[in-house]
Amino acid sequence: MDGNTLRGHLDLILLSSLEHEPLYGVAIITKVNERTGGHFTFKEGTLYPALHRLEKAGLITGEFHPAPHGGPPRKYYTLTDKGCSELTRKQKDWQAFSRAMRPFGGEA
Amino acid sequence: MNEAERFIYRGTRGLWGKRREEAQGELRSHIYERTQYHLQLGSDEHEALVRALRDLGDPHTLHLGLLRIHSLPLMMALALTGALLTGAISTLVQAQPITVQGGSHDFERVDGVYIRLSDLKAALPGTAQLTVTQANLHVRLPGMVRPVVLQNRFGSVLQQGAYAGNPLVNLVDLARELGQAGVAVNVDGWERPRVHLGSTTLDLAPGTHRTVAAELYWTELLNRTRHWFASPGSRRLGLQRMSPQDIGVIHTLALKARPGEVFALLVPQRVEKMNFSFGAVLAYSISAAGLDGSVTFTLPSLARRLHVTGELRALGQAIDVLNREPDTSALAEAYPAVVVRLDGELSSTAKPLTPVNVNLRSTVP
Repeated sequence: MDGNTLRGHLDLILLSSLEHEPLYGVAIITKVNERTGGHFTFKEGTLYPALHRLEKAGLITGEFHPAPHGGPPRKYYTLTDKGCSELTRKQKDWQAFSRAMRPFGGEA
Repeated sequence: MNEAERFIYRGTRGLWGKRREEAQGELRSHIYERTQYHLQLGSDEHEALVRALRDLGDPHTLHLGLLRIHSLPLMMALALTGALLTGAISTLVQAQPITVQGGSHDFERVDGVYIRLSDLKAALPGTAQLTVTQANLHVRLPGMVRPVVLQNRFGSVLQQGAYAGNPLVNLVDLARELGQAGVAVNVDGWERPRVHLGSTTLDLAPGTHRTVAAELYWTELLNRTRHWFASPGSRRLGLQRMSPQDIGVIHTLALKARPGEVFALLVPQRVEKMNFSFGAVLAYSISAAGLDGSVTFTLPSLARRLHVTGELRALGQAIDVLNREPDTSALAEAYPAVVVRLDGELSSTAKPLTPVNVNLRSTVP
């Protein structure tokens, strides 16, 4: 997947990955990979600035918890109410965009 | 300090207090988890850590990303305050170089090294002529027969929208044009580069991003390598910027250099475009020596099979080989690369670059 395409939808992808459960960095990467069949791959280091940006914007909140099988504590991110609203808005935008583009996408 | 801690330190430089602590904790956890993952896949301990760090990417890119979120607004406020103070002081003490608010990250949505026209005017001698037309900026320094012209349509001058009235001038383009017009143009410094345009010094503001220095030194590299392989045929030397996503492999060379000395690592590659093929410097990295004299270069993954030599002609030989070889993937040998010392002479085209005597293989598989 082209990096620019990914960048344009990174917020939607990250917010969506936190929709049902709090997750930490590695788990978010794994989940995104699984849900997109490996289409979205990015340097893992680019994840954290994006998460911190969303946290600073009040869309998610992060909290450290002990790792269940040892190792350093993990920082779990949770969607805030504001984040939920933003996710819904972004999903609607995406659906509208996707519908509008369908005639130009060719046969699947 | 082990490799993981070194990565964490480099990735979180510039963050302070609790934010730094938390970011470091988060990275430590990430590296631990990913190392465990690679151990389970069969890597040994060292290899697992190397892979975990490689998956994370370039610590410098991470550092920039975190800095932009957490520290840049504060740094910009400090830089602005500094600039106001410096402006006030410089009107009293004319001998001091004028601080210019330069650097791509001072201006959102603009890539490149830009400075405000008003800052440029304030820095240049009163007899310098700067004329803005609808599309271009004409700059004529004392002693120049005719002005150099920076063209708006090539992005050398940005004067649309928010920049109308006080356009942004691309400092790299200005340096190049002035250099070609015979003005002595130099850059020195890395963390806080200073650009000398003839007798004028532009002191780029504190907080200016270090990529500004890399962009400026890149001009020197471009100037002074262009003639190496110039020939009437299709072969030419081009320097192609790599996107942040392409960056992934880090090479640290122990050069025993003086701290702050600037070096470039060049990797040749064959380029196929339309029906033409030519040798080019596809990957390059510019960096300054740290306090311990080592230099860290970051290159794209395509340059993993890297053989660094100290011979300048290696670059030419590599391009010759690549020009003859129809399929570069069939090359069994590592791509030769060369390390050169940059001395900041942006306007020089004839002076050869100094190759640095190193000879080692990249440790990255």
